Amino acid sequence: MKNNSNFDCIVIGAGHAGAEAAHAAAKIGAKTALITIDKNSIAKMSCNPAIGGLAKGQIAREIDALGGLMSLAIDATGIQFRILNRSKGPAVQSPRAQADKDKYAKHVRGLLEDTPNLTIIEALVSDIITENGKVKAVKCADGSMYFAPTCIVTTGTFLKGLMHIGTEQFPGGRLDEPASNELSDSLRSLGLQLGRLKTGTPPRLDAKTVDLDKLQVQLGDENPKPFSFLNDKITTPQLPCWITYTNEEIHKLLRDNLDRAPLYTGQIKSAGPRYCPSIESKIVRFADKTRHQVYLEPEDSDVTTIYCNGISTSVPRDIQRQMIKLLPGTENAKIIHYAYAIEYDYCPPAQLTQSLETKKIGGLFLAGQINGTSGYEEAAAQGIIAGINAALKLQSTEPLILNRDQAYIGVLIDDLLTRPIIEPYRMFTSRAEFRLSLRADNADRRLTQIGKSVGLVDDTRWKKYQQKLNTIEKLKTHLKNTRTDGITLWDQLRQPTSKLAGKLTDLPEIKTQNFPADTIEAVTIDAKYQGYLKKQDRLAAQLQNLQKKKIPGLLDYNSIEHLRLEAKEKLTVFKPATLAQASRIAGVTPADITVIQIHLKKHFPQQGGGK
Amino acid sequence: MYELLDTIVAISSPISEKRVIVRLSGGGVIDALKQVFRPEISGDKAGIFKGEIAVDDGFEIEAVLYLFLGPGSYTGETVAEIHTYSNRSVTEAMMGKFLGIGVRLARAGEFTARAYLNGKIDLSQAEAVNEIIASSNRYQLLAAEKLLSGKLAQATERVGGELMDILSLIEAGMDFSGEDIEFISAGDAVARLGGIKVQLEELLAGSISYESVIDLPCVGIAGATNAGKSSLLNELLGKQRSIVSDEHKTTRDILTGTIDLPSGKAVLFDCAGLIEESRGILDELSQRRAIESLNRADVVVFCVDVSKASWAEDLAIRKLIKPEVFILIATKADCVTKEKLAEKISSLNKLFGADFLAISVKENFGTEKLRDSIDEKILEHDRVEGGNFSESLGVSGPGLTVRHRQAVSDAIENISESIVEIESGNDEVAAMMLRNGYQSISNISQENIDEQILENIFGRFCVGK
Repeated sequence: MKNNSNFDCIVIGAGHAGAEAAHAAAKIGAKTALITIDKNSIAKMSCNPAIGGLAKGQIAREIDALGGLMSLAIDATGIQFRILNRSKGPAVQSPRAQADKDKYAKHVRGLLEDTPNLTIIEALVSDIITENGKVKAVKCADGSMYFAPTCIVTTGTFLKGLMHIGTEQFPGGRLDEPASNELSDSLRSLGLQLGRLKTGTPPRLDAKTVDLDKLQVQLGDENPKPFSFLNDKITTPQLPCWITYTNEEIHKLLRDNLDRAPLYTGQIKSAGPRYCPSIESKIVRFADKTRHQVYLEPEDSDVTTIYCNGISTSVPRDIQRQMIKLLPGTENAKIIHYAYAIEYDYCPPAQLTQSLETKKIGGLFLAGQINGTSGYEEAAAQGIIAGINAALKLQSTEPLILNRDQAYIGVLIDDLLTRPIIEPYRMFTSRAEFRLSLRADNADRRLTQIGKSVGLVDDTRWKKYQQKLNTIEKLKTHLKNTRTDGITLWDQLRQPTSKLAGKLTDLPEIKTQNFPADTIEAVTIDAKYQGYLKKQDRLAAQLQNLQKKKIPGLLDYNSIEHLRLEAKEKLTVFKPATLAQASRIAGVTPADITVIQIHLKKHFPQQGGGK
Repeated sequence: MYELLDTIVAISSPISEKRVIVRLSGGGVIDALKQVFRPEISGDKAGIFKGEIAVDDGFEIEAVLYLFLGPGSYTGETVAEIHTYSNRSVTEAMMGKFLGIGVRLARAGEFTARAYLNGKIDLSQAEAVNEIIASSNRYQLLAAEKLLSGKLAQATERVGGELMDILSLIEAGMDFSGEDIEFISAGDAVARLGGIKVQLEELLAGSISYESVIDLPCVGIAGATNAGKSSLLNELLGKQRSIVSDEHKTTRDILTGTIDLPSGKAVLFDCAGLIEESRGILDELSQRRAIESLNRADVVVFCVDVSKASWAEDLAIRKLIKPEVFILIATKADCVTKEKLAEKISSLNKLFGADFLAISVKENFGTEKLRDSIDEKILEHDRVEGGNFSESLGVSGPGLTVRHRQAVSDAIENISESIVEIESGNDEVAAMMLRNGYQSISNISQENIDEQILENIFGRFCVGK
């Protein structure tokens, strides 16, 4: 560890957001400190031991295209790779992989340790010191101080974390890890408003004690496909997952003990995720369902522990034990970690700008669960953007803002800035109105150039990317110039029920030229969607027009006479940066947008009234 | 583009006519009035004020001021209407005073634009008002009125809701495919979308377009003030509202609605009560306007209060108008005894030289007979003059503007395409089309409408409304 305590950027917290943030900032050139309570917890998978999934897989690939870490780590440590939604269109197909969670964490740590300009420090940050509304330093519980003009807070569920197992309540950031209480107070004293959210995690079982043989097996893809553009194949050994189902006995057990479930006793007051309900919520809300699916997922390549995906819960330990006893396949299983629910402070993200910097404190960035999101991918996405933007700020360069038509990451941040958080925010493909073009297969073509321009994409990746672009062009030209039955191969591919799609490699001339699989895939998908994308483009053009119209930060909505009261209130909370953002805030009508536009034209003619 | 903070003014009626209405809206209305109107008004109470326009010392002109306060007014702001003689130099001097204190001339459609922007009316309604203003034909009035009644909004809201429901299920199928649930089968989605498509096609087919609509006959209600015209109008119109909304409580404008008759539809209108002798210029102006309208009507229903002691005034008024067809009715028949009624009717018949029909709205007799009678007269008129009265009978759908038709057609097209995509397993493409379709439908009322459409709509208004 270096002794120098002056940095350009300090990242507090080394989860999935913090790791990407620190790596990005350092790689772009900022002298960065990554402060974590425990080095062994870097990039820890505190919940589901998996990366990707629907919409999340796209985000992981976007992070990769920008030059991030997540995809590299999962490719090196994944134990089961699967493309989800294979029966559906390519735009909604997503990669997902189970990880060996310890190896994953170690891999990320290794990548961070190898990153120049980056120092990892073990400490508990207790205070953020500011001067004239700008970040100056952070102070740790051990009394040490680190100075930097930028700071990225990525504390996940640690801020005033309160864990619940049945009626037991105890402070903690994660199982067996201390909560961060002082930092929460520090943020509050800086004028940031904090709210409270809840999430939960299921029990982990000792794999040796689970009767896996009698369970339904779910295998990964035969030819596992890497997440990262840099990797051509997966070399780690692949494992199955197992499926079991809850039953009426379990449902009765839980129903009979709802009075001991903090979610139902009023002990937990914060909102949890509706898309990831606890098992007790499932049986209450869907009382007529006689069984619920449970995936038993290995957490490591040696299959030592099992993650019970689908039964996150807050019921007491004895009920958890009984539930596991009643679950087919786990009758004799030993619980290694009990399921728990956790409540934590988050910072409603309306307080952020599009660069993820707080509006109140210059140089203070927030990323990850602290912004009310859920999921490693969502966290990592914010981390890389905050890291990039902290580094760009130090260079006095314009921040990187991805738009809704460019990336899921753009959709994510825009949603955070324009919607109230009613539950931990998770990405879905349906949140992306430009879904047909925001695909896993073209993340590289959407974002590598941007990653290069901010300084995150290195020469190796750039060269490989240029090669891919060339082969894509070459293949497209060939398809457009070759006809069978008078129709070009390209046009044949474009037909909705094309027989050629998926069979390009059977063509002798394609075979001899040995086009890489990802090139063939990219071209096939491009052809399929080409016609539809035109429709989407019109929508994108409208969006871009409104995006150009910036709203000055000092605008006092209450002074705009004709704005409706509800609109004034909502706009004052969210303070949108552009008219496009304003138009997406619930409670703001198109008429309100016109009123604002008129006001801007009159009072800020230079700002964006013009076309 | 509209500047919403200014106080605006417009001359609401053609300057060549003998009367002039000057309308103002905005925060500075009271200050503006202080420049020209005597006695000075405080502005803390809405109402009708009689007074004078005083633009120069010693030169005054009689005027009536209608003052409406926001947010209850038409635009949602303070609104004033000054009704006075048309006198070019006075009007110019008055406008000069207004412009001098920063009031500016309203642009086309700006009053209605403000009403829309202040949430007083929705976009469909704004367009309906637009059509009323822009139309010189009565049948457009009909279509416009139907739009105002929100029938279109109702229909599209229902369809939009169903569309959103199916879209959500399809989306769920893509975002939650890991669950062991089938949210909606392709077959169900296709069937339900087919149903929506049929509804939208019916909406298009059943709607009245301005291009194809028939020229509806026009029925006016006339009579002295207090002859019971208003209650008769309400009775004939049923629950329908007159086009000129409740916000205009005065009868200085002609109130209109459509009535269903046995053989077809007709436009019914009421206007200011007629008086024998005008007591001032304003009275005279409103009389003139009423008489002109009545003379253009296909049928005039002339009301006489049967309970009155003398009908000399009514007879004089009757002679003021010269419509093609008259139906004479004796109103308030419940106010006299049965024996007396027969006697009175006979006197009326003699006095007016034509037969009267006795009516009591209160006791609900005679109105059905009146409907039949109006129907008969119109049919007779059509036989002589030609007309499409009876063809209007089956028409009951909402009126659609070109933009609305386009939106509904767009939605139909998107739904049709989405059905094909669902059948070929391309849910993600189908979802995009359904989003577009939903967007088209919701464009009809307030959602997601961009400023260009607004400008197009409001740019088509004539100044003053």
